[in-house]
Amino acid sequence: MAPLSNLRQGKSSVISKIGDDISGTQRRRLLDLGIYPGATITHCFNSATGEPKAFEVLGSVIALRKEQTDFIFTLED
Amino acid sequence: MPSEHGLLSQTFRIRQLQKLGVNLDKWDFVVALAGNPNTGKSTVFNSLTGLRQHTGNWPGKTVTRAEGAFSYKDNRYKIVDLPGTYSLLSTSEDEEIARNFILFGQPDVTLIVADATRLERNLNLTLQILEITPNAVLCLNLMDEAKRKGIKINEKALQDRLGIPVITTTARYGDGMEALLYAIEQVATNAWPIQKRFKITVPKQLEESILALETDINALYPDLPNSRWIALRLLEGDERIIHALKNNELSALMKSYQQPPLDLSAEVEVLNEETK
Repeated sequence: MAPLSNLRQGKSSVISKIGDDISGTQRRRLLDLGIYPGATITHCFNSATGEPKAFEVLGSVIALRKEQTDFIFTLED
Repeated sequence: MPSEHGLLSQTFRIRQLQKLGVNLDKWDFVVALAGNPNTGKSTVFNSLTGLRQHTGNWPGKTVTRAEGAFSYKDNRYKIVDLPGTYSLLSTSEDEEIARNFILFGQPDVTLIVADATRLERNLNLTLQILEITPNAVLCLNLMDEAKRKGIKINEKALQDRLGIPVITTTARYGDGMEALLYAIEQVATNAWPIQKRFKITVPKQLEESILALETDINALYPDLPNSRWIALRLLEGDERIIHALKNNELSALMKSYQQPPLDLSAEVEVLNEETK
């Protein structure tokens, strides 16, 4: 497993786990947006400052911050 | 409505449909229009009411709710276009508007408009709505795009699983709208078979906790229509619901939806002007 923050731009992987550091409404929010184990996620592009980063999941592009991507894990490719 | 309402009404005419625009004097049934952002809710709204509520290909376009009316066969319907959301758990103002209306406005039918090309994403909100009310219709919109992408959907299977009518449409060309009207009528008039309706089953222990809480909630707030939903949120530790319950905000909210409806026709007129 590798944190989502390590996924290189243009690459896709499958989400394997949302870490316990993300809990409560924040965890639920991510699940509602399609961040759940088994979903395929693609690192699309970065904002000018490098953070947040844009990811495509279930056909929509969403922005995630390092505080979140460090605790979302994907399968190694 | 006359043909000055443009392309949509020219391409889309149904014999027993009368588009009533903002003529909201009286109605038999209330339809809430819900769905993810950018699935074509406003296009469905416009094609049923003959209005030209702003439609556009960007999320967050419908920031408050817009209301319109139509009649189909013998009944008049008020239709309320809600902001597009991915969830009803109220982490933003949009979600709160949509959720409060479905929860406290108690529409006769909640019409869920889903993007047929992103079904998996759209079904999350569908299930959250079915958790609140079984009186819903699922409209799988943007079928033209789905066909172009080679996506095939077994809507009959989906209908059997969800227990609500599932109708495929391409609202911008009026495709499937007659079937959609028929489904809305079926649910509104209780003609849709009740035994088919969806029920989320939960583990026994959780069910017991829900029932215990529900009993308490019902004792405290006998008028609350969705004590089961409130109980589930309390068990999840939803701070906003806990706060609202403590401060008696829920009863106030509910009452605000039972008042005569807000006259939002002026707002829609302004939108009409803007699009001219």
